[in-house]
Amino acid sequence: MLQFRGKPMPETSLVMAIVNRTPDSFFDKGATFGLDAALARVDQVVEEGAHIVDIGGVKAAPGEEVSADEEARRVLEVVERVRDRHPSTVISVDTYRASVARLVLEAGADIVNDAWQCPEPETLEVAASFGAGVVCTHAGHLPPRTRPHRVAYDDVVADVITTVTDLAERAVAAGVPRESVLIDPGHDFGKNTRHSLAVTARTGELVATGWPVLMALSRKDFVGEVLDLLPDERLEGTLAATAVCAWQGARVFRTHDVTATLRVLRMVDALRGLTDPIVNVRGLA
Amino acid sequence: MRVAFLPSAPFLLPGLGGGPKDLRFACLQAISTLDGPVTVLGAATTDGPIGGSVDATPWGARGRPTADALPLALAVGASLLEGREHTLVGIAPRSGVTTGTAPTAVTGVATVERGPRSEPQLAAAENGDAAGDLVLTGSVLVVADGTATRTEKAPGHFDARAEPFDVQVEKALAAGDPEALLALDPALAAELWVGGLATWQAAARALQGHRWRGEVLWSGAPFGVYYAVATWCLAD
Repeated sequence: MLQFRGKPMPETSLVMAIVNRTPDSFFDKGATFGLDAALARVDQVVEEGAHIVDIGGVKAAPGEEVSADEEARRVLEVVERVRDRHPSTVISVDTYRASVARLVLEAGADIVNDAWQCPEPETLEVAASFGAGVVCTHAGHLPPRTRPHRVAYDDVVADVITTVTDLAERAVAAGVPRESVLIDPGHDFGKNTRHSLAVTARTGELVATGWPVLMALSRKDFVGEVLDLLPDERLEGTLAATAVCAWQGARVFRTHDVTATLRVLRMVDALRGLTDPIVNVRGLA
Repeated sequence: MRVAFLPSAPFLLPGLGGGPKDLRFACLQAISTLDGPVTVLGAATTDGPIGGSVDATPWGARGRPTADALPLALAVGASLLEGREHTLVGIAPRSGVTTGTAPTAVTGVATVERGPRSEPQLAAAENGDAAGDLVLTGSVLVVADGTATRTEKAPGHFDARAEPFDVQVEKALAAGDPEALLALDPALAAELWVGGLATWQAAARALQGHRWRGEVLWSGAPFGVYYAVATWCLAD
């Protein structure tokens, strides 16, 4: 059973809500950069039913350099407050730095979500030392905060599987609980749109590895390019991809849009026979 | 002898969307100026003649992957030649850097000689070994591009030095000036994610010593990467 620092997760599809403590992320553009705004966002997504909150202090794209100290300052005070306000909520922190991971885990975070393929291998030992979870992501072998330029794969899905399962086994070897490891194919990271479409369409191959799969699809460029739409117009495209991945067994969905994603996942889970209808009287009364 | 310069964006390959129509049209227009067999120069992992298939599946095109996919630039060149007789010659980066960054020097890759018909011929040699020279005649297609740091959304993010660098390239192409291509700074090019410097400079080395009339048919950086389509014809 999936669990993070003693918090067992339901057997349904799960939602990880994005909380950006950044002034420059591509979708919210700083809306929750301030501490109060970030905390209000957390309260809101917990109220909506998010299973995990994912707090980040550095945007993924290239841009202003954010030092480890500044990143820690941004995320730590949110983690501390959230741990206090929502003791049972699973807290994830989006960071590729082992030093930041250590600080937030000390403050009560449950998961290190390293979206950059673990550039600092000691992150795994840090997570293990707290019994915390990790996300093992494929970032196309690129350094943090770089964009793909003409990246080519013989078989992108095969490369993803080899990379993330190797990382996952390294995490377990380092002492991370096996039931607290997620794999993430890293849509858009080190991939062009067609590569991201391929890993979406072939989600089942990732699921077949046996590791629970996290999908971070929300309003990303691969959706934008398929539909030629800007980030604030990408909800439906994101939800379509969400449904396709959930149908094939992906487990956790990182999203800006908690309620909409939960509804899609509830519907797909019902189609898969994982959950019952909330109301079930039509023709039965 | 005629030379055409094209960019090597993957979207120019079959099955990847085609890219901007005017850019593609300019590429085909430049190729139409070439006569006879064409020698295609483009980035590869090793110097020298190379064979293989135009296969866009590594960049996400649908279809079955082949076992002998050509390197990107040579695949773009071979694809746009649409079945015309050609020879592919790989130009290796000079510093072991990865795709998207630039080489640091060019030596002994290609030289130009007067041919039997008083036209330059291209001699491409692996590792500059004269004994291994491959002498080729006809037209040359140079597939390479400039900086990838022109805008905030560019693959390498924004670098203010990128546009002046590309202006230098464009002036060299417009003037038919091999020396100006050879004068480009490889270290700066590497920082600006110039993918085509080794190829441009190999071509320039092969073509120097002659007067060329240059024309730029298309140039721009619509996605933060600088593309130039140009033609040179012999002026002496």
